[in-house]
Parts: sequence; C-alpha cells; structure tokens
Amino acid sequence: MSMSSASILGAGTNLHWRRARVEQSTVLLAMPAGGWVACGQKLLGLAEASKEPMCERIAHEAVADLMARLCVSEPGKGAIEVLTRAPADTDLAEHHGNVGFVLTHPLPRARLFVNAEWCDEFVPIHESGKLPPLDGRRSAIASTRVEAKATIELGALSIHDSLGLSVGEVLLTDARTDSVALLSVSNRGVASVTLSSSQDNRALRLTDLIAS
Amino acid sequence: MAGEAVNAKIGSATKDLHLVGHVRVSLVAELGQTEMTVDELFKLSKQDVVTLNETLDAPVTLLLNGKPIARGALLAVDENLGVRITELL
Repeated sequence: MSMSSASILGAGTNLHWRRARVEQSTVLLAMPAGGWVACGQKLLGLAEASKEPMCERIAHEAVADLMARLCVSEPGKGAIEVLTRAPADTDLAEHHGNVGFVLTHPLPRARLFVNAEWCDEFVPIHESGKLPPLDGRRSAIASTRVEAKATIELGALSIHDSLGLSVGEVLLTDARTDSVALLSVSNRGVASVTLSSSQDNRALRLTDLIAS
Repeated sequence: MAGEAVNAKIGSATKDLHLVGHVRVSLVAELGQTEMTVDELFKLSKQDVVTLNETLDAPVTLLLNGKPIARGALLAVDENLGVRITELL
C-alpha cells in the first residue's frame, strides 16, 4: 500500500539509499542501517541472533536483484547507485508524482519509491482495468457538429414602416452591398464576413474572427 | 353593443400603434446556414470561404426585432442592398 513519503521515512532514521534508473524511470530503496543483516537472516532462514557474515552480502545482492527486476533490466547488470545522502524531496514526495511503499518481508521496514515516469512506464492506467484512459477535452468535442448562421444588418425601420410592408415591394436598406455580415453559432458571433459565392451557393469570406 | 365594443378595441389598438409608430426596430436578413464540426470551426481563419447551404437565388428571411416576419429576394440597388418582399404574414 502506498503512503506519503513523510510517513514512510519517519524521523531520525539512519537509512542506506540505493537508486536504479532506466531512462527517466527511477526506483529508490532505503534500508534501515541494521536492516541488511536482518534481511539476510530472513532470506537464509537463520535465527535473528545469527551474525553469519554472508547475511549482509546476500541482502545487498537481493536488493540489487529486486531493483534490477523493477526496472526490467537483467539481474546483475546495470548499475545500482549507492547514494551517500537522502534524495531530494522531488524524488520522494507524493505531490511530485512519486509513490512510496514500505516493504516488510524479507526487507524489514525498507522503503521503496518509484517516480511518476516509472508509474507511466510500468503501470499504464489503461492496463489497470479500472479506469479508461483520458482524452483531451478539445479532441473529445472536435467532431461535434454545430450549425452556423449568417446574418446581415440591414438597418432599422420604424414600426409604422414595418407595418406598411407588402409583398412585391422592394425594401431599400441602409446596408451597402459590401457590408460586413456576421457568422454566428447559437446566436454568438464567431466571425465577421463579406458575401461571396461558391458555384451556385451563397458563401462567406471571413474578414475577422471574433475572440470569445 | 357588441359591435361598439369591437370598434373600441380596434380604435385602442390603432391608437397604441400610433403612439409607438416612430419607434425604430432592427431589421436583419438571415442569409443562410451551414453545418460544421467544432474542429472545423476552431480552424477557421481570415480569408477562408465558408459555403452556405442556400443557393444564390434562395430567399432570405427578414428578422424584425429578431423575429422572422418575411421572406424576400436579396438584390443590389445601386450600391445598397435591397429586398424584394415575397412572403409576409
């Protein structure tokens, strides 16, 4: 189970840090100072009191093997870095995209951190089977069809004149033949246009786009 | 009596219209429409030509105060636009 880096690290613990990398993916492991021997004892099935010298070596090899496998490289190949100081907060903290774990067996209280790139590489969301991959909002709406209307202001006329209109009458307007018309979507103007034609159809040539 | 009441109503309506007859209202012609995707809309740029569904001689709809009240043929009268009214309620 993942936990926050602060609660995983605790305070005042003397930790030995190891780091493995594959491109941008990083795995960090922190072993408590006395953890190597305890780990070796568990791996070898020895009693806790046993001070068999090979315990520590076995533990180091086991950790190196674990980290190599986590980075999908061949065990024994690829350098496992020994860090002389704790990594920066950017490599550990959850809000930087890192995920931390506490390992209990056979690595007593060892801490394991993987960064966001490691998660993206080895635990893609779409393979989790729980959530579908997300798509951009613009691309999601890109194929939505909208109706655009073209209108042209012809001016204003009095209510009296409007009531006097009759079929067959030619209404002379204030608008010039080269007047700017408006292309709108849902009554919101999106572009200024001039009248044009395209084969037998009316067409519009865009003169200006209206910023929203 | 009933006839007098109707005449009074008509007189009232006429009087009301005379009161507001000078008020000017906007006249807009709806030239036509087209359908496009949001993607196409976002990609529009200056000088692009958008073809409408209407043919060149299709009637335009006249909107008075935003309401469609008539249809007509759009024509040029010298340098101005004119509309020959073809349909009116």
